[in-house]
Amino acid sequence: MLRLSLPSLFLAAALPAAAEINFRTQVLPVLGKACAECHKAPQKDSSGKVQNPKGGLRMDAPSHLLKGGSGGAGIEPGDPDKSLVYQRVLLPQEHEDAMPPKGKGKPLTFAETELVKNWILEGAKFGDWKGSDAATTAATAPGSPAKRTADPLAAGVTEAPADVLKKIADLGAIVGPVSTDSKLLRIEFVANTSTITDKTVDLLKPLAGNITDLDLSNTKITDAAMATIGTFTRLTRLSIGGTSVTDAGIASLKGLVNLDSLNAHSTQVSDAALATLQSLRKLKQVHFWKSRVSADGAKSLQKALPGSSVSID
Amino acid sequence: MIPNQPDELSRRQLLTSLAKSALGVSLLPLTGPTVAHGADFVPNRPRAAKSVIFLMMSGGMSHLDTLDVMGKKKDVLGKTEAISTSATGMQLSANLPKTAQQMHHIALLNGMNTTQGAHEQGQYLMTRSYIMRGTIVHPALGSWVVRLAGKRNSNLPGYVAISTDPNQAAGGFMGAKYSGVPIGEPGQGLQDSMRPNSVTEADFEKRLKLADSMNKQFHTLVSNPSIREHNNLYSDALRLMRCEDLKGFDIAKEPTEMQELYGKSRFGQGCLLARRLVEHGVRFVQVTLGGWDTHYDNFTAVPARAKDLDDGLAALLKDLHRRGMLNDTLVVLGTEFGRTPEIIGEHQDGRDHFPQAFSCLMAGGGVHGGTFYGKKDDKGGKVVEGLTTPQDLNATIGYALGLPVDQVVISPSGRPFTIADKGKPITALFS
Ligand code: HEC
Repeated sequence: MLRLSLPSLFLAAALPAAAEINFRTQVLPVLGKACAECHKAPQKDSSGKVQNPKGGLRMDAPSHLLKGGSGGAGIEPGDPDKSLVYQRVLLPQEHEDAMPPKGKGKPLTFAETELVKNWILEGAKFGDWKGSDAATTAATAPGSPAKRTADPLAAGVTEAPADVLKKIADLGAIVGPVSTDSKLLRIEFVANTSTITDKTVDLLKPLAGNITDLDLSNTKITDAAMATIGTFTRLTRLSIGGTSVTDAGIASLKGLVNLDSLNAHSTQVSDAALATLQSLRKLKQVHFWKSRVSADGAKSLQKALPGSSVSID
Repeated sequence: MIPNQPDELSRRQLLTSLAKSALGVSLLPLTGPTVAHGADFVPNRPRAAKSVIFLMMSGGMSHLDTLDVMGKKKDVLGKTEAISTSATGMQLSANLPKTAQQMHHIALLNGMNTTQGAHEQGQYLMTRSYIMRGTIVHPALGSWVVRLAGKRNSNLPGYVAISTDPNQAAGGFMGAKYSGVPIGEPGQGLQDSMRPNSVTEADFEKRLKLADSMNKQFHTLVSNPSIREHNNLYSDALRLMRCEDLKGFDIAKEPTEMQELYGKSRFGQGCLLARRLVEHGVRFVQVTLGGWDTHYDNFTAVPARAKDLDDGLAALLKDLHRRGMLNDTLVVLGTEFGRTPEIIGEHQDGRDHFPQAFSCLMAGGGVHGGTFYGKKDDKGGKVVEGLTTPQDLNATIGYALGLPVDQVVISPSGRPFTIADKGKPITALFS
């Protein structure tokens, strides 16, 4: 407790309390110049190979700096000894862990390392600097980037009109792209379902070319809405479970060649609807529990659609 | 130690007394009014799951007597027998006969391993992804999910915790608005959220206005940010009390055969409530089944617990499937650790805590059913393949939902946290 070292006493005296270090104007230029090249979001290089941030450490947003790379916290507010970013720049140039690595840039000057240290001691405040955080997190989520193949359905889709999206969201619906970077929409009416009617579905008409996933379960829609839904040509998933839809409604779906999943449990749909469904060759999953479809009907549909699962229980 | 607690209490006391005196109702539990609606959330993979039902087996479920019997030696299984399942080549314990019929929906996680061998610490790590410390309360998994994905139904809480210790569902540094709304008895649903019959609608409105003005006065007197955070509480509470979605909380609305399907146990009814809530757009539901701490008389205690689990879990999977909800709903069974392969004779054939190796499961939500990930040796005592930590499990849940699992949330103390710490999602489980 009493082991106050001389330099820190000196520093405390020398630093006027008011002169707080500004990250954006003072610290960022130092780190930006000496480090950013190797410690930023994953990038494709000229050969198309993805270059990940070195050591897993990104320095392009506060959260990344705080979190650090594979070795732990990059910045530990108030504690330079536990801040890897500071520790690595202190190392002699010959040290294999020194940053920037030997021959890959000029080591920081004493004034610069002191600046970083004092900024950490002051609590590592980033002020108004946000970096490029938001733009990059979704793209770097595991499993998302490389695996995403071009979706043939997405071809020719235009941007959905924002005012329509807003109108629908105001009704309590979840409305949004099916995944990041997609113009295809999923729309889910799960709140206030007793207020969702054929009129609500009319509101979706301007989005006819965008909607690919639509959940109207337990709403008050009727076969009239199904006629509108039948024009949503990019529809792949449709849930109308618990509605009063009948065979006439299903007949309206005959143009939906992309449909691969239909949930019609607890509806009035019967075996008479199966001929329409049989013509939708992409159908893979159909749910008929508590509808009027018979066990034999379900079996024959499943047989007619290779690789499908048609369940009544 | 728990930063939001003191002020939470005063807030609660304030609301309860205000609500009781002014409205004639108690507004407990708080329902996380200010949490964002999920309309802005875009999953990072198509067809991501929308909701999670997390079944927590509290006490440390014996893996050898439930999920992991395949290829195990007789002497470690003891009285437990293996039965075949609806998935060819896969077996489960005879303690789970109904679940065995749903195996085609289930992926077993047989490579589970944790560093924590005590209940509280083990549950903490399982449900929060971080080691328990005295200085901070990390948010519960459900809090994370609602924080990152928002609510599906703005009229209802995003996170509901059934038969679960409220501490285990606490939002920690994210604050009370992300805490799970506790339901003690599934059959009783949200207590006190109905307008009492003795108060007319007009009267009620008047009382509400009065309460609102009292509340505003209170806000001007007290400038505590976490109190202001709940500023919308009255309007939210009002919405909740009048809202048709509230029937999601009422399992009495279910036909008798449905209540029977899930089993009459508290856990079974909790599973039924969980299904109803998810159907009404609740994002994350935890249902806890306790009593798995079978140090003594394991071969009597486990079958008794397993019966409730089997009824509830099998019904849940079957029911979600036939309603076409299973693809959108990830069902997870977790527990804090496993139990020893050694059967301890002095304890009437008991089994002790065993963090080195245990089992969990996932079903629905895009998970390939009828499979397993990870493997133990033939004694069930050592993970030999596909080692999976609680953090990996939580990362996998995040992945199933299409969440950015690397999204950092900074605690009020300035430290960075993520939903699954350094966990890696098991992407192989998904199509
Ligand atoms: C020419 C590329 C390059 C530059 C420029 C560079 N680094 Fe690094 N950095 C690396 C590599 C490679 C590693 C991983 C190997 C290692 O840990 O030494 C690394 C790792 C690190 C780590 C450890 C991360 C962890 O958690 O394991 C820190 C901290 C770090 N760098 C800080 C800095 C700072 C601060 C600067 C600027 C002063 C800087 N680096 C400049 C290449 C670079």
